[in-house]
Amino acid sequence: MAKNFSETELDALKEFVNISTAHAATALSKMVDKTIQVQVPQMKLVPVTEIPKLLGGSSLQVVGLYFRISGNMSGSMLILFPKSTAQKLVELLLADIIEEDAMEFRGIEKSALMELGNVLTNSYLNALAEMLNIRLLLSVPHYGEDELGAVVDMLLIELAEAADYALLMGTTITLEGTDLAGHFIMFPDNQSLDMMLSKIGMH
Amino acid sequence: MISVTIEIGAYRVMREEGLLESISLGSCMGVALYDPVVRVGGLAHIMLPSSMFSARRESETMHTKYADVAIRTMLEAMLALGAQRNRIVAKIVGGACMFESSMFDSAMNIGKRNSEAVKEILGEEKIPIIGEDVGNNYGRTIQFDVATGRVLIRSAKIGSKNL
Repeated sequence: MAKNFSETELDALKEFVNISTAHAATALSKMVDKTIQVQVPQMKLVPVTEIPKLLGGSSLQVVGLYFRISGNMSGSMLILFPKSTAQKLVELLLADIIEEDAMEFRGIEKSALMELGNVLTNSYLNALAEMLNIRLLLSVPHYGEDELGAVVDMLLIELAEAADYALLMGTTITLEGTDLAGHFIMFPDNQSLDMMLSKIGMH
Repeated sequence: MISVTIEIGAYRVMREEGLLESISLGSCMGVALYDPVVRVGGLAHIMLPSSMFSARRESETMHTKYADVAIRTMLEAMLALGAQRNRIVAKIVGGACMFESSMFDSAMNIGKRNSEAVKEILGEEKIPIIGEDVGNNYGRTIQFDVATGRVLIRSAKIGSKNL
């Protein structure tokens, strides 16, 4: 993506992301019965190769849930949780039936996190689709856990095929009373971005 | 000793001593080329199989993210440092499929396409592959010691090993 976005355009996109994330956070809040805070969204045009650094560094242990978006818009959605946050979420979701210090999450924990990802992403995209008055479809969740750099590089590859820069539309959510954080990141392709901007009268 | 971390989509060459490092390779590939006689080594952090299919080849700034361009450009840089083509050997790492459910979906298994492309290009250049740790579902960090030609692989999931 060679082009630059104006401040106004970025602010408008930020508002969409903010509202969509708020919907997802409400869903999460209901699932785990905790208050969730949504941080001010990041909205930056960044070199694709800088993305791991901006998300917390390549070596961070994370769980990633990857979705393909299709319909009137196409692109990808990635939910990233540091491993410790994922562990905490699993505890909240599954009460006391999990194994401590497991190297990898077992089947049921993975399913729980995938289901959580499904609910969050659906809430997020439903809100977005409603605001833009478009139809969006979501793939099944793809689950990955490892170092952040390794988990996100497939997405970077996908982005790098289209452009050297990508618009990072991300939000951080935090759980009440803890410093547990997660990232929501959406990467619409260039046409979809143009469509979003034209829907809100920016083009 | 100099230690250099290769940026995603970039490559570096070194002579005699130094460490070349690629961090957290998932579907990306690390390709280490080495002439053991003059101890000239190069490491590329490759993202995509081939520049042939790029729709925007002309406008691109970082061609070395493609396996074909990266390997051939790095070869030239190594020859310029005194390496001889017929002595160069390769060790290749990465090309994993980090998302379980996408292992059998070829559109999503870019890691497999990357490792296949790297092998094909090395074959065309007649460079023997003397070590490899590719595919599977785990991320890898690699350190290439130019003094010895040894490649150390570290993985959060399976531990460390030498190539």
